[in-house]
Amino acid sequence: MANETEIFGAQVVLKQSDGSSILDATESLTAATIERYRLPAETVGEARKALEALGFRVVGDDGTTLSVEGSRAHFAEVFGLEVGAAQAGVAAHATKIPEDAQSFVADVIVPPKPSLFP
Amino acid sequence: MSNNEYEVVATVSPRSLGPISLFDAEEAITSDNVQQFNSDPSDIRDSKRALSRAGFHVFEEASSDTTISIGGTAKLFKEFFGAKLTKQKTEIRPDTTIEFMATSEDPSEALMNAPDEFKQLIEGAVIARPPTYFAPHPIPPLASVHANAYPYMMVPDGVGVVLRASRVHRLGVTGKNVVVGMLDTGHYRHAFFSSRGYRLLSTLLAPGASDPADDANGHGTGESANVFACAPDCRLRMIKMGNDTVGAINTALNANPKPQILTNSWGYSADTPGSSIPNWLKPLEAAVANAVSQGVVVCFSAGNGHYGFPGSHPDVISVGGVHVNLPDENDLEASSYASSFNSSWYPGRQVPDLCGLTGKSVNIGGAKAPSLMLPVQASASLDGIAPSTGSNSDGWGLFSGTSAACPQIAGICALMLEKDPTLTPAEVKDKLKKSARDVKKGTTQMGHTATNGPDLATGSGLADAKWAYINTMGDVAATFFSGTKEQQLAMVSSGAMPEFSKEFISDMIDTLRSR
Repeated sequence: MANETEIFGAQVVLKQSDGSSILDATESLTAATIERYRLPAETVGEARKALEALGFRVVGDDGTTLSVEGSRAHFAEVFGLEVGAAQAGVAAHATKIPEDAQSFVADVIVPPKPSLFP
Repeated sequence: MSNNEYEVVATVSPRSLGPISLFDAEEAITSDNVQQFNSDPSDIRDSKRALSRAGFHVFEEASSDTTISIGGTAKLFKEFFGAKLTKQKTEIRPDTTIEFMATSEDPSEALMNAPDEFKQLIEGAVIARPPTYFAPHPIPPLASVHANAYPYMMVPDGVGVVLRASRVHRLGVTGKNVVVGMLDTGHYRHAFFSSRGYRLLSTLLAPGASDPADDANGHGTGESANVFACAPDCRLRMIKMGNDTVGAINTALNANPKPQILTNSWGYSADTPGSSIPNWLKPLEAAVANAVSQGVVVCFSAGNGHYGFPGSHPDVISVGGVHVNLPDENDLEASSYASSFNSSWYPGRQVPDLCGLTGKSVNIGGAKAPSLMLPVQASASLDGIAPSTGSNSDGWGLFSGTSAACPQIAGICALMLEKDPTLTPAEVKDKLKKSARDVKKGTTQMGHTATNGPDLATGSGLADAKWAYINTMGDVAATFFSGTKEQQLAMVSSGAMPEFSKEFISDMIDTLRSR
């Protein structure tokens, strides 16, 4: 049975003011193009506070996404996210986004573990 | 049932051939006198039979002419031997304590006596207490590798010599003041590192990771040795990854001091023919782009037959594998264990850019690439990888896919950045590719064959640290010779212009001749 208190990391994909995000990008995201998708520091700061208010620990950002930590149960409760899917090798996505976060959250993603190449 | 599923394990001594019981011996038991403590085969057989009938498991493979090993529940030991067993704790290695059931160590209670009906047959028994595992030795064991395998190399020497990093070290360039971040399974403080004085910054935990001192897999610890083989004076920061790879990159970028280089021996086999990038990998694509846009050199393994992403991201230095056929260090071939592919996501992007050293695929009970002896946490998963180094708990393993090649290249980047910290990630990649040694034979796991000049199999070929260093410095020389007298004077007085000693010229000629 899954441990509901186990801590996971997830990426919160942030929306720009026009509602778009990196998920809508039709070009490759590279060092040459990433600036176009970067949100103002003030907007990122507000998103950070809002996610902390939702009970998540924000551990970093790269201007387009926020790295957050929380328990399996909390991710499920707030974002309807099945973290177990990531353990099965499939990415897990948010199935719901709280109303007060809809203006800045495009998706919440928990990637599966990567392969090592020993 | 496996051995560790028995609550209690004990060593039983059947009646000794000599007049004194094994447990009463006052003299040292050596090869000269051990025979008198051996038992008659019939006594051994009868003892095993009696113990089995009583309900004990007899470990046949762990028994000898002197003793029999048995396992069972604490209740069974209490009923048969009248043993007083209590739960005890012991530290088997730093930070690892285990619990076990045992008698007191007091001699009057430590020896368990057999029931009266077996007293003539069994001298007694003692509980097997878990040993303390000593820290792995800093010098690797000599392994008897599988008959089909090829000679393996050691770190740091083998890697340093073949990649010609050792030649750069002799010039005093060793990666000083360069911070290399490594995103992997953690870092165990193996004596390999401490005995050589390598500089390890404290391990950071990425989202979802725990226990910074533990590397139960062994991958991070082992592959990090490749960084130091090429840049022995760099400072290495391990970022232990949890489930969130993007969070791990962001953790690295937020670290203080911030790494100038990130080495990543992992990926997702996702950039497969005909596919397009899935949404769940876009945050990772953005994180890589963000790191490089901040001036961080990002290296990724291409994969071992995987369509590795972010190994195919255009901004990264994508590292494939070349195998060296020892003893000829110039006999190079594309590794049959490594990846090579045209990206489906990034038109024109070929993987790899260039290569580090890997094994080649050899069938030793499953395809393996045992080319490097690397330090791991004792009893880690990779301590037990085939072929064996002689023990599954000696703190060493033989493995060398593109996971090994990537940190080698990161180490060479550290040499370049020590020499010229102003180099951008694109310039580092360009100079590395221009300075690589062409590889003209061998076929990768994807079936691409190396030929003269750059090719899909190995990119620009095998990295050459010495030539990369000269290439880095060469631009300084070019600037000097094209500059005005004032500019030349300024370069010399600021120390930007290196001095060319006779030895250096001689070494350069030697380097040129061996390319």
